[in-house]
Amino acid sequence: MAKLKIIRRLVQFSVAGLFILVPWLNANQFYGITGNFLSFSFFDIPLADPLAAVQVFASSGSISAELIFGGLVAIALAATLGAVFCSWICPYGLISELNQSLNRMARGSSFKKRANGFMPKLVFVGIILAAMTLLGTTPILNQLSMPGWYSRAIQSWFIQGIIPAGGILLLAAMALDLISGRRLWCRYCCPQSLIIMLTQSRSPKRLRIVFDKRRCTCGSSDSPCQNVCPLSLNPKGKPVDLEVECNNCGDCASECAKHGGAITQKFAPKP
Amino acid sequence: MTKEYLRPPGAGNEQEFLKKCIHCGQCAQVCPFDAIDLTPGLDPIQAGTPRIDQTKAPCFLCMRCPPVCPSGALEDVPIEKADMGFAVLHKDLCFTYEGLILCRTCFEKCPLRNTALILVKGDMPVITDACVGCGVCEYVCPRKAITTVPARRMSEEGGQKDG
Repeated sequence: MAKLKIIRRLVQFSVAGLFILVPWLNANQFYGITGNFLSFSFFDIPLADPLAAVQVFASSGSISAELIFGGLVAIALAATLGAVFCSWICPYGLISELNQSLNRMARGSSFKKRANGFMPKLVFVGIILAAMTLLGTTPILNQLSMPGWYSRAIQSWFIQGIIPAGGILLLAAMALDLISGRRLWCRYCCPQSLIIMLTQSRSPKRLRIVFDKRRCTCGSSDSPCQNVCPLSLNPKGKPVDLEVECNNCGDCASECAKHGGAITQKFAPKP
Repeated sequence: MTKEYLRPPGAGNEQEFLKKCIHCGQCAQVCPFDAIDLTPGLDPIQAGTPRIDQTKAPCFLCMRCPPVCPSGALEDVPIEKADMGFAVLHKDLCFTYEGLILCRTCFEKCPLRNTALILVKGDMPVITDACVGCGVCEYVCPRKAITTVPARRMSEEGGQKDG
């Protein structure tokens, strides 16, 4: 495994572990760090899921300073480093990638370009948010947050000794990913990633995957970079196609470094 | 009848609370009495919202949960305005009203004693309008003579406060 991918896995596992450690610490009277992936407090610094903040505003018409600040931190991260939340932080992203790897191991590595998952998400979340604004519905999209359910299941376990029934959604999404090997939830369902995708695709300058055609030694027939992409994207395609969905995991760049080094990850302007 | 739970202090109006609660569970995590748990189940409106079962562990009104709420679903109010519900005393079950023994347990444990729960004629417990419905008296009553009615049911049924 490439060095970057080892570091990324370490970060992912650390975050996943943190959300086991925090409820345990809380159960043992340490309250400096609290919360889950919907809202998190790190020694009084609030962090929040931007979609949770948007939902509260849509349904109640008001929003607290903590949610604004917490949501903006996540948006600032996406604007400078891209959707690294999905590839480096999200525990469901880790689970989904591991499921996909299992599937690929069982069936052999295969690359197929897949349909873009952005529009279905945009339409779905748009409809729900409109209903929220008109009918004052409660923030129900939170119930579809997979990192949310990962942390909520552990949280409930430490608070009241039960795993909530909603955790079944997590198992269902995992089963889908394992069987399809296509990361269906992340690409076509996850509502929480929508704001991150919108932000990164509009950022004028951020960490991006850059492909330099002149240095590519593989040609059009062989594409090791495509084969390693966890999202089945094509790093050698049109740069605009990567703008929305690529989450800057860096796997293609690490793979390409073994070949021509045509793909690099660096701060680059919007193509 | 399904069991009725209380909301943590400062939740206020049930509908407004549900619109703002983002199910982060921080109130339950900081509760030093483990009184708050998170609603299990698959109801997308209720799942993950905090609730208190006063028969297992009541709210002692330490007021640590409202300040940690990031979304303003729990407002940081003074104890007197915690507004969780209202306790109802069933005199026919109360030791003191029965004249059997002088109990006073509810009075001794009430976080708002002498305002929410007063002793009339020296020893008859009476719950006043100042009661915020924390559930402590129901929890400690040896005779199960007190029930706590959640604030949301009082607003739904027109707010009858007489026991």
